[in-house]
Amino acid sequence: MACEALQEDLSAWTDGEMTWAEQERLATHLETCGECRAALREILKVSSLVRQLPVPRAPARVTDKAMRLVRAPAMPRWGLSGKLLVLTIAFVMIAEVLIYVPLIAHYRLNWLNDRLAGAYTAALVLDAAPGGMVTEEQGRRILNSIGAQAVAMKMGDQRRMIAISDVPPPIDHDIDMRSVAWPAAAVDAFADLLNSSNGVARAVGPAPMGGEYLEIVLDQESLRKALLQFSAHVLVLSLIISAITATLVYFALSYLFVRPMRHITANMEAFRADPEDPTRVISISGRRDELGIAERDLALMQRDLASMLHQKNRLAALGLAVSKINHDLRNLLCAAQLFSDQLSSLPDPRVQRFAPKLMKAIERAITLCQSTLSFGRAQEPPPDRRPVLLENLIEEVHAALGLAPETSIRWITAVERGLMVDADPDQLFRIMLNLARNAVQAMEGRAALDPSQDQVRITGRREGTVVVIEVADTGPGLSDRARAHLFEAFQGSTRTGGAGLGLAIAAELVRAHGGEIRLVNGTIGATFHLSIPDRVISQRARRGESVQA
Amino acid sequence: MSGGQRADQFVERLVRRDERAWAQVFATQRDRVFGVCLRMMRNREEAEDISQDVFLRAVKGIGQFRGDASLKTWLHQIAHNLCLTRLAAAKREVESPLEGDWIVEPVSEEPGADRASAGAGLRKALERAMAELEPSFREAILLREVEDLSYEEIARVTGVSVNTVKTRIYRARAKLRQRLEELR
Repeated sequence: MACEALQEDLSAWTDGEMTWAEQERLATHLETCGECRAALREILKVSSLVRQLPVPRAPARVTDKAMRLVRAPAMPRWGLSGKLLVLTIAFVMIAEVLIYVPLIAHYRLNWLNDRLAGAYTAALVLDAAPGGMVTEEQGRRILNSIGAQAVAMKMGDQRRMIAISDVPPPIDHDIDMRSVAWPAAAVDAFADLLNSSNGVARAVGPAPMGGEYLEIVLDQESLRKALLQFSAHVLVLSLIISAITATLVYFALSYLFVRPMRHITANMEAFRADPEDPTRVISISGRRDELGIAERDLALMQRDLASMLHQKNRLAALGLAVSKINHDLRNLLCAAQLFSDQLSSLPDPRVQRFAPKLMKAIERAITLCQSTLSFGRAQEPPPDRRPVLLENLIEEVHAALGLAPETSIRWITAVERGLMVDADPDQLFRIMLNLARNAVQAMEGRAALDPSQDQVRITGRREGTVVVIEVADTGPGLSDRARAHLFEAFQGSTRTGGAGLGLAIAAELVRAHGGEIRLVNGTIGATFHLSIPDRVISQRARRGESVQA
Repeated sequence: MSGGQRADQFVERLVRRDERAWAQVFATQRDRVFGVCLRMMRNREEAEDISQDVFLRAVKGIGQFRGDASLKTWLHQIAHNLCLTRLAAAKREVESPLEGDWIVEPVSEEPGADRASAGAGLRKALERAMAELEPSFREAILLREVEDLSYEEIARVTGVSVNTVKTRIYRARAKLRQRLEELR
């Protein structure tokens, strides 16, 4: 078959794996070759069949392990223990190096002194020898035992050769052992250690029997070898010591520190996964060190958090139930309101007498439901602040209160002329309305002592960047019980029939402005003091404003 | 933001073991990897084992994943290596049944009994013909037709040249056609 080679290309072509030139060549060929056209059809057919093979569903467990691995906390690459291990080794090595310097200097001096002591003995022996001379054989033995090439002693102005090898070598370096200074000794030791030139040194030491000095000539290489060997011993020893120390430190710290730390970490992770499960609170090991304190504090915190969450959840469930009940209740009350409205149209005088009271009670109940519901929804939007003219706002509040024309309560405002407050006008309105309504209701609710004295007094002034507003009434004031939970929701109202929400909402709104609200002590009735600071306007914003202007 | 940057960010999230990123990978790739393993091993348990291993290794080794291939290709590459090792170790290829519980049933059958049974017959024949293919041919055609990888990606997954991939796919198609004609 002539076209067989082409059919592999055809297969690739169906996969879009050919270049333009190749594609064109194939297309031209296909126009004339029926065999290849048939082959192409077959390829496409098989291809489409395979493509239709269903993709199997993998069981979820296939990725469960991997997911657990993803969720597992990644172990730090260099845990505390690892870091401590490396640090301990490093510190021990530093200590060893510090010890090594004097050690090597000392070793070198000892080594040289040993040689000189040998020479000293030889000189003594020689002095006792007949004729004061040694044979060549004896001389070699002396030199071998000392490890030197020549030994000589200076007496007076005469220099006496005690023993000498065949060829006296030239001296490269002098070492005087009669006067040794310490830092210099250390420097010399390193110089000898690093000096690899094969030189000859002469060491000079004290001589016996009134001699001026004793000198030996030796190979520097032998000194260097001895120093190197010594250094190697010290190194091996240091490594062994640091390994042992580091292992001990590692295990000690692991036991004392890392293990309890891991216990705490693991517990924190477990707790985080389900903070409401009280069994996940850390079990205290009873240690008395800092970690023990950390454990105890953590346990306390976890317990608090767990119970808080528990309480929150219960409250949330309760809140949901309350709001559902409230919702239904409001609808029922609305129906009741309708009926009582019709009831009031009956001509019966007793009905005429009670109907308005019934209506009022129902109305209050509806308002209570309504305000509870709106508090339940309670996410107040962040205040949209702009300059507000306080006088106007208070006038609106006065109008909204709708004080009966026959009321004896006097409404007094003492606000600085043109005082601007930087606040959200709607929210400030609600704050003021709540406070003013509370004041009015407090005075309406009690038996009037001296009606002509009843008044609501609102003052406003600027103190620097803060606007201070006070709302005072001449009512009966607040009981201690009311004061205790003044700004908390549902914690008892200052008056009968209230939901205890007005002040809570007002306080929340004031706080949203970055301000503060409190009850002023020691006044007749109740006086609320609230301060609303201006926003901090950044330089850039101000510049932007001035540019716009 | 370019697609490459977005992919990089995604990989970065994977490296940080971001749970949602991994969940996404698992959700999109689980069936695909398992499907290839199943048709390669022709044994459900082993396919499950291998796919589990693939994802474990992916999580452990994501640090070594370089952005030069797609994540999908990379996963298939891991699966390829694992399948090959198993096949070589056990020489299962000879013993594994050509038919058995490994045969993939479609998730939902088309209504219409005649068409369904005819389709089912053809599908069974095709699965059998696929099973008879040499593993390397089977893998190439699966990656091409079912997983929709390009020749270059298949070459990367299986560690052979693009030309070899081209030949394997052509031969696989030719053999499938031949077997289907015989089985029909």
